[in-house]
Amino acid sequence: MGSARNEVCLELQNIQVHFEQVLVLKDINLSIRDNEIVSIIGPNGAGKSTLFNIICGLIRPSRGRVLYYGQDITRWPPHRICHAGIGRAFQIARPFGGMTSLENVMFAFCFGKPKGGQYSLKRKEALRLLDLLQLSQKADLLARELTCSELRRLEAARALATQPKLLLLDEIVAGFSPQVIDQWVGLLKTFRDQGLTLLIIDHFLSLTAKVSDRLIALHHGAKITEGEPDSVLSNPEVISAYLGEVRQPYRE
Amino acid sequence: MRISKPGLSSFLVLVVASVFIAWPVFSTGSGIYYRVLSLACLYGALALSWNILALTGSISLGHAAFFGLGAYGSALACQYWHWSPYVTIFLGGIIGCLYGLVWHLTFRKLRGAAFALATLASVEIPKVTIDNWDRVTSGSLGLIGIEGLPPVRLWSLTLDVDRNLQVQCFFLVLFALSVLYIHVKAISSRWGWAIRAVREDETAASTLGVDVLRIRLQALMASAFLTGLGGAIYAHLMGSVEPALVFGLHFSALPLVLSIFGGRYLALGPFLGALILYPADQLIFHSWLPAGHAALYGLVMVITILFFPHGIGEWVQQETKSV
Amino acid sequence: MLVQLLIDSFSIGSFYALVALGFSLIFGVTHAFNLAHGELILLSGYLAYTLGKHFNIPFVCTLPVCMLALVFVAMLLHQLLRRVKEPFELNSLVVTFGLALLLQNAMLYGFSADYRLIPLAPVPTLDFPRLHVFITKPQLTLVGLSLLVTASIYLLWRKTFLGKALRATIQDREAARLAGINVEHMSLIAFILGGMLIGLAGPLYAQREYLHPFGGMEATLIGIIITIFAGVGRIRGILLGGWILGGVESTTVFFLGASWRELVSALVLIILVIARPAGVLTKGARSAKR
Repeated sequence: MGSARNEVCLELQNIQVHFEQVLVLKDINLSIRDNEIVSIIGPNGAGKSTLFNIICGLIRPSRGRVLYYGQDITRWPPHRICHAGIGRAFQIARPFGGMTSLENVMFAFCFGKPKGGQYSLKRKEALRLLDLLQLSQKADLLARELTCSELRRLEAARALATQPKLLLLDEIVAGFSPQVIDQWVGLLKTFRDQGLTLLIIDHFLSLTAKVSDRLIALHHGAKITEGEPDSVLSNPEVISAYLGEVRQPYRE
Repeated sequence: MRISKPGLSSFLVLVVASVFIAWPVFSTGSGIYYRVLSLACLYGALALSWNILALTGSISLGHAAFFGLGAYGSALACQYWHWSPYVTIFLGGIIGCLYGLVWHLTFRKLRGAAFALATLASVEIPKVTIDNWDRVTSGSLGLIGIEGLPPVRLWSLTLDVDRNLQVQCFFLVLFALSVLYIHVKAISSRWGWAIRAVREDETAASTLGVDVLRIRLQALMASAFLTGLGGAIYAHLMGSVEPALVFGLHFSALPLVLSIFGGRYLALGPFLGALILYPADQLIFHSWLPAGHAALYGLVMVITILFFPHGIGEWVQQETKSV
Repeated sequence: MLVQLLIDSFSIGSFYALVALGFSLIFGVTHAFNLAHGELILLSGYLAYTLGKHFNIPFVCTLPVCMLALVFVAMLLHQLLRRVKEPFELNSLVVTFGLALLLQNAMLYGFSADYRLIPLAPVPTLDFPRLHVFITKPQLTLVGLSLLVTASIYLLWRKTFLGKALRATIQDREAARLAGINVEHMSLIAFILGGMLIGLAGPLYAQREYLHPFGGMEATLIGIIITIFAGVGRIRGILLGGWILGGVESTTVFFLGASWRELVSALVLIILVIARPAGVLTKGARSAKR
């Protein structure tokens, strides 16, 4: 890839977002380095998904800039941001229900990059990706017939198929058992080894300590703290923000 | 919704369609059947054109705007500039296309019912303008004496498109087939996949690299151009137009009914709808109810939405699949 | 001159409010987009015309008959729309579009394209010759009945428990259901009330304007415009919207002539739909914020 190990991949400067007169994100500043795994944590309503929406271009901030490898992408349309190398897996999966899992992934391969090429040639690569995410059995099943866990994996597969450099994963393991979570930990480390930078939203703190280099904690739309997992998780402000919320990893 | 793959029902459809298409070439039937088939093909083309936009998820209730603009554009250019109808027909298409661009610029944030309503209302603008612009367009009286399509010379053959109903039929079949080709591309090609993704989930499509605005614009302009073309051809075929007719609800509703009836997600669906319903209307219903026979389409629309939401084309496919 | 304009605006505006009220009630409670609204009004008008012409029933007596008949028709429509699947707004739009087409042609068949009018002598009942103003009997009837009915509905809306239940259903169907309101009954009642309003609007329309089978879309558009403007279920807003629209149209007719009226209405609708897609309620009415 050629980029230095500590080059800044993504930077958010003074991001502010209004939604119908309500301030949803207040003055967010953060920077993500190349090949890092960073988790964004915080209770419900903290503005985490909104942050992702800003990064991938679905919402425009009322103030502030988004810089991707130094380039200002704040006003770019979502498809252009995707082509530049930012992939997104949604919290509530949005598969193309009428297509099969294989077709969904082939689609992402085909359109994820500007000269994606012929649709029919993407089959082998799509199968390989499905295999990585243990969806090979479901390749020919219509996406709307997949289970919740499989849908999340399909989301990730699709996002990966766009060949991103930065991958945004929104609550990818929310509600899953410890075994599944461990599988995902392994997967995420594989992605990082392949050169990806990962930005994860992890409300339930399931993945956080096991895989993240850094944590960023949000509450009521503002960043309260960031740093090493241990120090952030023992920060009294973070703890009180989560009081009444689930603090431990979700157990079945 | 699976894209139609070759199967028994598609084969049947192909057989039926081939019979319809080959017929004008080989038979020597009476004039009225040619006329009916010609117009069925024209309506089929209109339905296919409408569906190209509908495939992106935008249901339009205002395609009569493109139809009427195409008709008037071509007729007026013919009358005032004395260009050949074959040229003005394309001009009609372009004018339709330009109004489609206007739609895109004003309606691009609208979806669903809001979009449908806005398109419905948008027909009034060209309609009332033309209706009142007496000096140029003869207002509500309409234009008469529009030049018919001139004869085409092919080697030693002179094809009188205007007067020879058989040749006319062939011409319209060709037109329908051209539009069908574009419709097929809008379903099964790279472009077609993008269109489908936009229809299923715009947000997901955009984060996967699909330029949603561009796709919608392309589909809209193609749809508007082809509908305008159809309107222009209609004007030259009929010889006269008036605002209440060419901007009427009939030409907004018919493509919708035919497409929904025939199957919106099938390559041949809208065309099939036209080939079945239009002859049924003209040859059967018209004799029962000389006035108000178009009630058939209203009835079909209601029944289809309630009982066959994916059109009978799809229904036939389902039924033959279980066989 | 201006006073006459104001009077005309007021009278036609009150009628528009009546038209919009029927549409708004049905749409608000059931989310059913009734594109056949105008055609149903015409149907009622034709009924009144037939009763008057062929059975010599006096105008005033045709009103309750028409209202009853249209309540019946509205209940049929309700049954029809219950079978429509998701997405409901769009599908009900298309189904009623088909219904409008069906009704248009049925009326064409039954009554032919000739223009018909219920003749009520347009004798000036109130005359102010010094101000160059007069008010005709049809106008008085129109305004009187429209306002009376609107006021009654308003009282129902605000002062009765039924009205409260209807308002709750409009605001949030699910919450209303959870609060113990029988939402299906509310839908039926909305259609019954809507049918009554449509039934009343028909004869009033027919004594003022010529009835002809293709005139329905205009009335439907008026209902939609005012509903979007006022927001669903806001009766005073609907009245205000009716008067404003009446004013805009009367002014247009006054300065540009009657033939431009439809264009102005269409432009108003387009502007409203773009400015307030929330008035059209659907989830899909606004694309992702961009």
